Amino acid sequence: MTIPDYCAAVCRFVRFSPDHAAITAELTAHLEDAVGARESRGVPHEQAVVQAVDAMGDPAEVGKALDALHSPLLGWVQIWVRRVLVLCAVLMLLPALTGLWTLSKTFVPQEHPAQWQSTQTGEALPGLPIRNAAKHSGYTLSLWDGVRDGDTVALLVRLEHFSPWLRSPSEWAFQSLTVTDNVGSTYINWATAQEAHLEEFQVYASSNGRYDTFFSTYFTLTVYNVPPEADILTFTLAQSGEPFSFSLPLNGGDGHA
Amino acid sequence: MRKFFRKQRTQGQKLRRDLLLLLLLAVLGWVLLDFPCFTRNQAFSALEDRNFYGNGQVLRTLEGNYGHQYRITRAGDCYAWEQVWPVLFSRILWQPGQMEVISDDPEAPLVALPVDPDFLPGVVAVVSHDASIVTVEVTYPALCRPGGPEGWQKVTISSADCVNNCLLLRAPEEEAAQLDHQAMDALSLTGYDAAGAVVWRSPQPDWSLYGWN
Amino acid sequence: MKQSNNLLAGSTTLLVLSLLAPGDKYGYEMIAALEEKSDHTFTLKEGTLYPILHSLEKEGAVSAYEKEAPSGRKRKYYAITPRGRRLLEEKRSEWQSFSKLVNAIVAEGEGLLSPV
Repeated sequence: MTIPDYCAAVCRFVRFSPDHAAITAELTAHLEDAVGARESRGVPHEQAVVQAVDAMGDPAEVGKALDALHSPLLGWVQIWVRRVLVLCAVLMLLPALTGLWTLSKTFVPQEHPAQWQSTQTGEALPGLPIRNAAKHSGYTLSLWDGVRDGDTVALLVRLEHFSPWLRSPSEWAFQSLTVTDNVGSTYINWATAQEAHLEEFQVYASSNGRYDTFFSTYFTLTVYNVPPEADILTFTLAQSGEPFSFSLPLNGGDGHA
Repeated sequence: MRKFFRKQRTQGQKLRRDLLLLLLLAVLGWVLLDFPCFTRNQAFSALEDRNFYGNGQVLRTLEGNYGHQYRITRAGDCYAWEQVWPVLFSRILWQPGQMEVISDDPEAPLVALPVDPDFLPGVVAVVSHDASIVTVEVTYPALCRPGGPEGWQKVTISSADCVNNCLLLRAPEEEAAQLDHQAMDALSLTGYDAAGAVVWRSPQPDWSLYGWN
Repeated sequence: MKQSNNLLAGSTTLLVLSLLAPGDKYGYEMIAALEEKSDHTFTLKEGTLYPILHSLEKEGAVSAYEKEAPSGRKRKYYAITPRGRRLLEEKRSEWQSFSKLVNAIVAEGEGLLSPV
């Protein structure tokens, strides 16, 4: 029997075919070493091969012993799982790169929020930004910037969150916004006015998304008809089980009445 | 021949490498699918948080087209219908959808909450504050499809399907499309008690002033 | 006289691990070392070496790597692992207590057989 024949005979008993190559390689290396050793003792090549193969023993015995060690089912499962994974990785490569590129762009805003003030008329309110003015259901609210133009106050509010499931809070979150001041004026929210079919409203919330990033969203709250003697505007959101509020000082200060 | 002499890795190392690749692909997939939620309830929760809406009592749940799930909840003095949708038609990953919050009107015995016209066409939810109301009738104008009667028709649907003081009404398909959820005051509501007597009727909407066949 | 291979059938693991303990070896090197140490009176069926090596590798008692020989051929070397060393100790003490027992019984038998 030649060396390749012997290896083939052993492999015939090994059911898990992907292992045949490795087994053949190892046995061949061993047999070639054995033949080499005998040849160096003066045995002619043909005889050395015969002796080496004999010394290996019954190929059936060796093959069955090896077969017992390599479970075909587990082996095939592993091979196919690996192939599927690699295929998925290859297929996902292009969409992954584009998706990650788009995602990375959301970490940087289109425009810097400092630009907001230049879109508004009026004088800047002192004392801003007031960070972490309120915290609610995973969001942290900060009063970022504000202007006062006569009896109109515009406030840029920033909502920050960490969890990706809280991204894009809705404008309608401010649907239940109520505003009061320290001199007792009433301000009606636009959503309330709509529901009650009222013509006028004094509070309006909007968002244009230009300053937004993945983790922060900016809203502009506009309050009309603010009397000159008002020092503080208090905003309350009561739509949820735990209402929360934050105050905007109109003449500086830290926002506490 | 090169192939036969690849670096020998133990079974354990190969398994770890495969699991790591699987984990990486799963995380990547999750990111690319726009960070879906893992359960329906998580999606509803996220939707409520994004709308600053509190944990409310779930009145009813519905299923719409394409596996979209709806919930009607009540928190404080607001009602809301909430929508989440399954990602890739799976039931494992969900994205929060839309939400509409309506303030309660405690004076009115019946408050209508028209639900999403796109994926749940023709469904109206009516919240009842009056325990004596057993059946609710909703009337609204609909432009019927060609082949039926010409022009606008008055459509009336009724239902006694009341759970948690919330009744669900479904319009038949032809008239379903016309139920505009923005025009809540286009719905005329009538509540009947067990004996069939009218308990309450909503104020007449504008369209009822016109003549109808 | 060739030793009966049956006596040693269960202790090939011990043999293989003992051969690897002083240093890494490749397959044929182990056979050669075995023959040398036994003065060529012991021949193991070489083919059975590989199933044993593979099963030890699966258990984690040995690890395998490839090295290129000066002749240019790539050889698969086996090395004993710490786990393998623990296994070797275990088998060694097993073997020692077994052989002590056998010696004791044989000595007793010798005592009985020898003419008083």
